[in-house]
Amino acid sequence: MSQSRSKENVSWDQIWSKLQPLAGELEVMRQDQLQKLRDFAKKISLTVLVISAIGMLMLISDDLQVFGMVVIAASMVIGCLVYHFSRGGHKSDFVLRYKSQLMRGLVKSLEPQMDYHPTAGISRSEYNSYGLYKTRPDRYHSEDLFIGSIGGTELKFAEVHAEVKRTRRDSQGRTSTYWVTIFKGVILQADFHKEFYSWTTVMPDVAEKSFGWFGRKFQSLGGNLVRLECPEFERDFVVRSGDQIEARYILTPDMQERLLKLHRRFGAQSRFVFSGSKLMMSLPVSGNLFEPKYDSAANCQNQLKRITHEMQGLFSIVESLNLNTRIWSKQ
Amino acid sequence: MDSLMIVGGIIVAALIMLAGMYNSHINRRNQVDLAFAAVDVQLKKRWDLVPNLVDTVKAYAAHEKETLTAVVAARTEAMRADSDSQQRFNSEREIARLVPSLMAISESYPELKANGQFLNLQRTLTEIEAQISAARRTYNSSIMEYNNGVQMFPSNIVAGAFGFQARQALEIPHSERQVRNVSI
Repeated sequence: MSQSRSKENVSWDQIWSKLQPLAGELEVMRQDQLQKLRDFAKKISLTVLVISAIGMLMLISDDLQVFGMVVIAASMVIGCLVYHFSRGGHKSDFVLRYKSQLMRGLVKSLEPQMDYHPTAGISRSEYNSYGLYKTRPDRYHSEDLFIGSIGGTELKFAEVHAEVKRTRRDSQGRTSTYWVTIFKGVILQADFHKEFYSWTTVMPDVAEKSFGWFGRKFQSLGGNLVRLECPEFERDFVVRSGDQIEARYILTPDMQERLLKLHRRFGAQSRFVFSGSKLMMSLPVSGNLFEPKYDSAANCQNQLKRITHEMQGLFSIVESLNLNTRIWSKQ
Repeated sequence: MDSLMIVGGIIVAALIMLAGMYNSHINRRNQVDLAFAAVDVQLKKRWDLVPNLVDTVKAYAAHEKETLTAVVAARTEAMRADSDSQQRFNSEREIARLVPSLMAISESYPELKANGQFLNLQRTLTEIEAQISAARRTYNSSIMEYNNGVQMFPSNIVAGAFGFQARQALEIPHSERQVRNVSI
């Protein structure tokens, strides 16, 4: 019997009644922090005013004019920086508590078999091993790890930002470094409901979409190409596999339809890799998911509803792809 | 001299192209044969399932004699027939029709439905049917590639000259062609 609680069974009121006391405590903490920040801001402002006043006095003297301007400017800049870092420290502390306590409680309410670790993520080596992107990142960050199971399906996903370093040379021969994003969004790994031994990749189709028949011919040069029956799926994806039969065993017409709908839900740039009886997918997202706003009240229901919606959107992938149907040899 | 070299070059290029097209036909035909063999392997796995299935069902539903006898007969016919003959095709179709009926019998026999061996056979059968479907689809895809080579210009000229002929795809059962409406 499935242990997954669907959103129909767990109402928002039930979730909120469980989490409200905790949200209230966090809001008290946030208000305390804001009050401390306001007091600190007053002290900083006073200090900056005093130093600026000294600087202004220096402006009277011709010899000290430049020094006076530097003193005024430096005091303002340093004052802003000190306040900024102080606020940043309080904000990080608040966000960590919000995530570790409130959001973890939220995850347990939605899916009791799932757990949430705000500071953990998918490791760089795992990301590389999934084979979703050929380019190895030079800079990699992952956070907001969700791990556990939904029904009989083991699931793991996290936010990932992978970048590669590039250098460019200008006309004077000077080189500069810049960063290019390989991927930003959610990387997900799920236990697939069928056993298979080879690999199959499903990548967005650029060649056929851009160049039609010529693009199709060009694709076949890459080798291991699998041509499937669903025309819409063929138009959106290019499929390659180490085993033609296994690719079709995995990508039934039904699964093709489901992947297509999921792909379009996430802006038509997602990628899927089937390997080792597991499904890995990349779901590009431009913004930052699962982030509470420091400027919003901790007990603001709308904020928590937004985060709930983000979580449920990803939990529902198991149902969308029918991964809990285990009627084949794999249980 | 120059014109001789040009003509020679054209002839060599034409021969290379001819050889390339011929080899492509051979490659595609071999792909078709390989894919057919893969379908055959899965169909034989299904044959192996039939005796266990019949024995298990018989233990609980002995008076479903008609269906039990029919599926055994279809299996025997299929095993005797040549792999690419019409008789083989008909027998496999009969097995594909009868085996699900045997499974459906369990709905009327709760003890059979709860039997561990039967449940295991049910899973194995579902697995094999999925593999048969995948192997058929692969075969049909390779047939399409082969037929394209035989029928499309200019490779059809080489195909005609060397006796390559279009082949027929396997019929996919209606149930396997269905795509359920999915709401996400």
